[in-house]
Amino acid sequence: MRRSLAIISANPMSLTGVILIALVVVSAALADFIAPFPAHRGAVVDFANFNQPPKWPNIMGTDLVGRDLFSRILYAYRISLILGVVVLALAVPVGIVAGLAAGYIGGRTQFVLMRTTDVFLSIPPLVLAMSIMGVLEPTLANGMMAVTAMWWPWYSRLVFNITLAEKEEGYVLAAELIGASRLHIMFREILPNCLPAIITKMTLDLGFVILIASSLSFLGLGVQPPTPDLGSMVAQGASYLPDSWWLTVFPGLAILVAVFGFNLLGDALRDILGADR
Amino acid sequence: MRSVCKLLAGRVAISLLVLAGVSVLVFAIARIIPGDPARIALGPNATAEQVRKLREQLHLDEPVWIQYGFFVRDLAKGDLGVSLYTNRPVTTDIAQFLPATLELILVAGIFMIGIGLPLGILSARYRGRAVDHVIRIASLLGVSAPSFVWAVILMLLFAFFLPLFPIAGRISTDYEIARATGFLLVDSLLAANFAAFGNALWHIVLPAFALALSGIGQAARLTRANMIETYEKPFIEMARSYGFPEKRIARRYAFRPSLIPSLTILGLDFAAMLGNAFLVEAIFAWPGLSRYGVTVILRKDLNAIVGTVLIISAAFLIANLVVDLLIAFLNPRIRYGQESK
Amino acid sequence: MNAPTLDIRDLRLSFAGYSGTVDVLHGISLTVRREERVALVGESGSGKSVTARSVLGLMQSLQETRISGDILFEGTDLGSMKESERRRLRGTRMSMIFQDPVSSLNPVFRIGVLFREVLARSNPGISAREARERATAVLSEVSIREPDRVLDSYPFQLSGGMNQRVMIAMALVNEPALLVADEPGTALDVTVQDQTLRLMHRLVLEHRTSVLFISHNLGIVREFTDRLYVIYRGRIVEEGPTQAVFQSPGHPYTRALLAAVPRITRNGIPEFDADPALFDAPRIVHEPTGDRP
Repeated sequence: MRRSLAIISANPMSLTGVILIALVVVSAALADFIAPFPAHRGAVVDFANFNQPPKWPNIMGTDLVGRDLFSRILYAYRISLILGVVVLALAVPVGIVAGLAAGYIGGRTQFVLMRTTDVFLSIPPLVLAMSIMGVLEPTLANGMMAVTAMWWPWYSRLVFNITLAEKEEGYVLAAELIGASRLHIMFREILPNCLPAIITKMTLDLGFVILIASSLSFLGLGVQPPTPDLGSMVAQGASYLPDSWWLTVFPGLAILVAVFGFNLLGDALRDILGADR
Repeated sequence: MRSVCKLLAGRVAISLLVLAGVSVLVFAIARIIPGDPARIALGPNATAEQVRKLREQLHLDEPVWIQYGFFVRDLAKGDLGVSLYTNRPVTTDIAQFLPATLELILVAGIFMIGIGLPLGILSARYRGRAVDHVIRIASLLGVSAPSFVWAVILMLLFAFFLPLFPIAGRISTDYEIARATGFLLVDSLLAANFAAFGNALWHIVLPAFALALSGIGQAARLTRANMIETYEKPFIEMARSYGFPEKRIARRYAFRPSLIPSLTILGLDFAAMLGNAFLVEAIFAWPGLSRYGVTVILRKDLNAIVGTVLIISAAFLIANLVVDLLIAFLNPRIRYGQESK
Repeated sequence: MNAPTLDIRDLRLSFAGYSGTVDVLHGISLTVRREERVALVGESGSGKSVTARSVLGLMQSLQETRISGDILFEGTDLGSMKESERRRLRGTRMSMIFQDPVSSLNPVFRIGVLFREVLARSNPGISAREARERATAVLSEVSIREPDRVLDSYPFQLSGGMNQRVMIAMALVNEPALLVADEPGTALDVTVQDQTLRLMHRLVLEHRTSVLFISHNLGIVREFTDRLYVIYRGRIVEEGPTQAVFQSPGHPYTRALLAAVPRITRNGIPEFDADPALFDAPRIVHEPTGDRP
């Protein structure tokens, strides 16, 4: 652990990643204190001050109904992060169980589970989430469900591949020889060896979930107004390019900063934990 | 060659199986829809009689598995039903909008391969040096933003700030191209209208590049990682012991073996563009499948949703089949029927 | 000019790592005269492979190596040459054979393609046909009966022994002055290894090639070399004509090495005649020295 911390802080790229993530998380958590106009997270209108370019006190300008963009971006971060964490908290366990079972038990279990995985992976991720969102009401909870539905197969494939390799290893055979149960072998012997890869992927994915969720809301299939969301902010501003550039550029860069941070850290973790994809 | 045929047959069979699974999944998604699709399609002013008729026509009163049976029967005939939004067969709608999207994706794919792979090679060859750091950061940035953000940034920079490229559309209105394939780049060449071809190319560069950016980043990262792994192999040391120049070792001896594991993932990335194209099309007002897809989703147009997702998934599977074939072609072990461990 | 083919003087080499510098070679000096076959013997970790790679210049290009001392090839100091000049010698005037023939041949190219590229090292303008003829000729020299089939094959389609012959043929096809053989065939079956080594021995005699033979296998060394150096913990501890060293080993480590060769005698497996603790595996001896970052 100490070695990992030393490596992270010695590597400028991963250090940048940690700083970016810290910035995003802190600004999301403390949005109530940092945001100059906390009330602007909701349905507020200030027509006297609408569509203004960045100038004090609206450092990122104001939107089409006069709300402070900077404040809205901070609150949007909060929703994005919650969404990312919830999606992974749901998708990863499902993927792990499916992957372990398919890889270790094999046979018909493997066929059914991995072909199901293939089916999910055969629909371009965004399209799958879109079609789910299309038939459901566009709410935050449904958005999480849609993204979760497209996310678990990646983990089942990852865990499946590692399990296939690990189950031939000596320590698994040894555990089988002393009569350990299947559950014990799957979760206590094999799973710990999948963890480095899973943790690495989760770090990277936290960024990608935010990215995909913003894509959904960009298309109007995600979080609905007046809840602040980075993707729908870009979508609303897109028709006012180039004159009202701040409407799209700042929310867009906000997505970039958050995802970039998680990617930098994920890359560093991959090097430290020695986990391949 | 025979083993390649066998391999291909196996993959086609699996793809069909998967496609069948996709149809079940999509169908299931479409049927959990809250609200009455017939009522939504006809609008609030329709009479109960009209709604009843449409429900009957769409078999909406039958049990779900019978509905699925009808659906599969029609599908076998190449009939995806009628879109409740456009009142035209879904196949007609898709045939109209798909080529523009495919064209965009293909050009983006060329960018992805043509820019991403060389960057990855360069990065691996100069591992740890300044070039490597620059490429690593750039490719990480590339994958760190959704393509609509890149589309906005590229448009601001290269269409407004530096007006090098057009802002939107597929081609200037001055050109009239007879529709043959639906691919403007192909149709303009068929019509021997090179000015139109140039114009269409000029229009496609920016949206295709925006779509390709994350793919380029991914390709560069993957190629770098696999090349670095290959560099540890004894045959690279052997090539060095024979005094081959480093450039040649990178491009030939290390790249070829590392391309094989990269390809599967690149195939997936390429296919992911089918979804991301929706995002770029919206920004650049590209007349592809995006607007249609989003509209039918928002209108809960069941037949059109199911049809669109099925067609996209089929395209996705075909892309993966092509990748499998390419791998078989590049990897002699598979070509000669000896699967590598 | 009568300079020896290879003359290594006081070669020192260390690796700079995260936890400090690890010294691997502490001043190696050895000479390979013309047409002489010299063995460098030691156990794994003793620094023999690193020495071999330094001769080819493969260690020098690594960023983390610190290297000093002179390596003279046919009287010229390799360290004074430009990297490109140095590279030009590899594959033409000096070549190398590796431990594992199967993984040392690039898996995605046919043997014929690899041969042509090796031949083009000394003759860049060589035609496909000419290359094919030369390759066929040298393959029959290593007793390959169907050279055409082999040339059209990928390495994984051939047996380990076949790959080893291919690698020997490839190493000798440009008539190098020096062949560095790094534990050739260790990855193969003993009988196959023996066969291919005999082939190699015959060929280097015919082609009058000097050989630096890296090995831990004393039986092989005794059969195929004229002189030997014993390397231990990155130092040469003994040198001399092979037969003489075998008859009267001077250094206790050499005696221990000789004793470690399994032989069935009346007395069974021989005992160490010295305290085994003196001869710990060398790798634990390369503990970090120098500055820690």
